[in-house]
Amino acid sequence: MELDGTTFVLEIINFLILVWILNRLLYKPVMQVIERRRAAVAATLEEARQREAQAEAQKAQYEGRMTEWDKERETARAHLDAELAELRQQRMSALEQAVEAERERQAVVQQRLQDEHARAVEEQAIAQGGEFAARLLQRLGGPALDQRIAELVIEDLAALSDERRAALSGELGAKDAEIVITSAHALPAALRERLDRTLAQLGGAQLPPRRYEVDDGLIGGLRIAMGAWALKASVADELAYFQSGIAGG
Amino acid sequence: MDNAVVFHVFGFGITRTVVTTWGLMVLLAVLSWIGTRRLAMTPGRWQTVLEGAVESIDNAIRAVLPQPPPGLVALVGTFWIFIVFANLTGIIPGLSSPTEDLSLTSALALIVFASVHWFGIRANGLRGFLRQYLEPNPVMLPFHIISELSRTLSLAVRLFGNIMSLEMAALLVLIVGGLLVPVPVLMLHIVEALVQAYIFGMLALVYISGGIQSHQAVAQRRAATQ
Repeated sequence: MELDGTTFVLEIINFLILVWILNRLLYKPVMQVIERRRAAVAATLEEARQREAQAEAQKAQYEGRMTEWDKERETARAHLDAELAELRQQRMSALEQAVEAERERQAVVQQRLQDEHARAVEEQAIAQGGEFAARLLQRLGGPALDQRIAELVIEDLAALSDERRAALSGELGAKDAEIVITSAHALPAALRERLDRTLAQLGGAQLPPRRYEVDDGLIGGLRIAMGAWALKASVADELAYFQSGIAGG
Repeated sequence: MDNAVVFHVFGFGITRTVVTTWGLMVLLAVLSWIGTRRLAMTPGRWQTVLEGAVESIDNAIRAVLPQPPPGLVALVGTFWIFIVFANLTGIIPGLSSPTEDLSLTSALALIVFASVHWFGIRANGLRGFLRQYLEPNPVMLPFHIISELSRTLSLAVRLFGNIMSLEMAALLVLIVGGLLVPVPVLMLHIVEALVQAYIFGMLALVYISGGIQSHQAVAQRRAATQ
């Protein structure tokens, strides 16, 4: 347990040198590395924080956009629904109008078909009636009926008004005029003479030539044609007249 | 135990303690150079150990003194590292711990004493530092001086006594008990070496930080009493 002065002084110097050596070779390099690593870690953390903040901001931005998009989508959907409803309403109205028009057209067509059918049935009935009447009158007719109708014609011609008589006289006085007298049966000579006299009284001295014809299609009675003027006094003409009258309503 | 002069330089006897210290200095310098020549941002196994040791020293100092002045980490850290290696030298056959030499422990204690005043004066100024000897009353001046000297002396003697007695006990056990019996004593030697190094370095740190913060403590105490 001695205190050696040389050792004491040398140990002080040795320790101070060792402090300098370790400070230079150990503490400073290691602390520098630690500081660099801390700085790198701090920079990484700062970068991570910035990225996190950036990500948060982007997230908030995206959420805002999503919210806006949802609103826009809802608005667009409502607008589309309204347009669809309006279009559906328009289409339904147009369809209803078309259906109504088609229904009316079908009703008109149906009515027309019914009318045509009724008219056809009516015409058929009139034709059958006329045919039946003609057949019946043909069996009932004969020279006596022709004579009787001729007498009635003579009476009617004699009873013509002056106006009609003048018109008939003008017709008989025309150049190339010819009187065609058609009867269902041949008329007796006496009756022919009476007709000539009556016609002469109507046409005066200029009585045109006369031609008598027989047409059993007249059934009974006679038909007198003088140019544009014709006197229809036959049963066939009367039946045709009646048929046309019934058909015309 | 033999602290004989190994050789002489200019008439001064170079003892075994000094030679062992030089060997430790070379060893620590080489280890530090090897350990720090390829430091990388991604540390390997040895770099992790090295960084862990240095950072532990730094954290221990900052736990006592949050803002250590420049050079304090190197000084206290060197106390710890050197004393650990010096204490453990004793377990190598044929070598003895330099710290069982009172000359070395006294030199270290004197460095602590000087460091307390150096860092205290740098932090508080000469007047501010010397004023703490007159606090709380000038009557306390002799007691402060005795305290400074006694704690410096205790630093030197504590380390010297513990290491010397430990090695002596190990030697006695080895002589009495044979080869295998001293193994537990050697384990105790390792633990004691670490504990004594920690105590010396921590006391040095406490003394230095006390010298740095004493002026601030006095000022705060005055402000509190006014």
